[in-house]
Amino acid sequence: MEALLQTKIFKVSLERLLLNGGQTLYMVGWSLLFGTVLGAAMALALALCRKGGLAENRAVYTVVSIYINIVRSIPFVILLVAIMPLTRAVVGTTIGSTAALVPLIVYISPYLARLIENSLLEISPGILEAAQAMGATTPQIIRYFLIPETLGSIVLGLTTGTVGLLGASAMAGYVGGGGVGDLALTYGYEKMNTPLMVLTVIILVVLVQLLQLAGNTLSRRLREHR
Amino acid sequence: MIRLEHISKRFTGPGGTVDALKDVSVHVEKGDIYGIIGFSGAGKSTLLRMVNRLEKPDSGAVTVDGQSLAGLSKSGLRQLRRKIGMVFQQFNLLEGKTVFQNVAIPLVLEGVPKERIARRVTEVLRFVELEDKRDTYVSQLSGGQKQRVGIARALATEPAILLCDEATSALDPQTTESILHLLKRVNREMGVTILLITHQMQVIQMICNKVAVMENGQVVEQGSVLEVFGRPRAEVTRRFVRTVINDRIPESILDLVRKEQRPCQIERLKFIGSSVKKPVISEICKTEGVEVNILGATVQEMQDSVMCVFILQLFGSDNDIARAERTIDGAGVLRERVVIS
Repeated sequence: MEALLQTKIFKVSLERLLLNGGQTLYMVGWSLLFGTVLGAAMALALALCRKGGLAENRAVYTVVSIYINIVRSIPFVILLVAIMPLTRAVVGTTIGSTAALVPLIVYISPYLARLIENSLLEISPGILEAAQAMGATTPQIIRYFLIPETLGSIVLGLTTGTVGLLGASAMAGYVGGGGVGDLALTYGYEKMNTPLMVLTVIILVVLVQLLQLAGNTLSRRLREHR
Repeated sequence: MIRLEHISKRFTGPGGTVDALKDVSVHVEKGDIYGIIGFSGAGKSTLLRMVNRLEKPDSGAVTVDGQSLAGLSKSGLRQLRRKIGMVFQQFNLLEGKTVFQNVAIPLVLEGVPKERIARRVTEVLRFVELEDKRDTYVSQLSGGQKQRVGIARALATEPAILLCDEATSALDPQTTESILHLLKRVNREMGVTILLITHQMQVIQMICNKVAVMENGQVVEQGSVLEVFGRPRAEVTRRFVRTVINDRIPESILDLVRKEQRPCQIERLKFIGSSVKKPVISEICKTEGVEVNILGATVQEMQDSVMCVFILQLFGSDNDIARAERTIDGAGVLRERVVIS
């Protein structure tokens, strides 16, 4: 086993490859989870509070919308450095995979919010009217009508978001977050190991293909009977 | 049951303001099937939505079952809405869910226990004759079946009132008839008061007992269906009535009439309800000495009554004709002279 792990692939041990691969999954997985929760909350706020929405509230809508636009206009590398004080306050350090989660979540949640918002707005006004006519409360409308009716579309949006997240996580190597991107930079680019760089690119390409395939399949399942 | 009093509503959009409703009053009694007819843009859809407050009036009062809607709290309004079923032109069902799931939704919202939901859903599905489609996905149903699901969903909570928003407008004539038949059963067997809006006179003719005709945000005519059909006053009402009862004289016959040399008078007679039984035409032939030529006749079944329209050509002296007219009027038959140009 030990010998196997020490096997060199393009001058890098298999152990290193697996470790960095695992770091990427760790960063993408957790930031996707928290990013989705925060993004969905913001998306609901936008969809409900917008003009003509179920809980029209101009102040909330404007604040959330402007926050999203501001965060989305900052390049990830800059965001990574800019929010270091926040990162330190939350996880106690600014270095490592866990520390990279904070900027990743801050970066991806507004993006996911926009994607989910678009999906939520696809719901037919007639369905909402029927729900209101039944005497449904706003939480009930969200749970029984809004989310189930748009879930297939939301999943497609989340897939797009995850691919974006994978790209952002590659930059986390900059703060010692590790991951596949770090592999390409530190061991590939800086040591002029071109074959290794090509390998990491291939890994990323395959990963994105698999993600998209999984997202499309799940989304189709959810819309199966429509 | 439903009282809409002096309702006005104005919409302000980018294209200026529109007075959707102008001082509209409609009273629906318990057990009625009340139809509101009008062309699109007449304001009938807005008026219907006043009843469950999907629209708020700018002025005027809405009372449902003795309860004023104006002072209702949010939860009070939800309670009220649960007692009013609503059916839509586009069905507005959850397409990705089964028939059962769709019909169950209003009960789920109320927190009814599962076994009771299952029992009630089975009951209403049997009523709308869709028991066998219980586990079918809505997307696989035809338009008529979808509307049956819509009606079943609206009835699940045993409402006292059913609002129908152009419920048959997206359906073909045959399906329309079967849905109308179903609505009539809902009214008769479940005792549900129905308020519906439509632009099809056929709907009014087949199931309504009362009708209001709307144009440009106003009710131009209202009353019992027989009354309004028999004596339409507003031009728009006449146009609607003509879509189901053809009381025009065909052009070819008009040509013949124009060539007629003898003095004559054309009359349009409407027999409604009990006056149908009276032998008025033979009477005027026998006693008033006029000759009668029937230019056209139609019979329409309406509710539990019938309406016959006769177009007669009377030959005789002015005196004879005047006497014949009095006889006709005396028999309670609606009569009007037709002037041919």
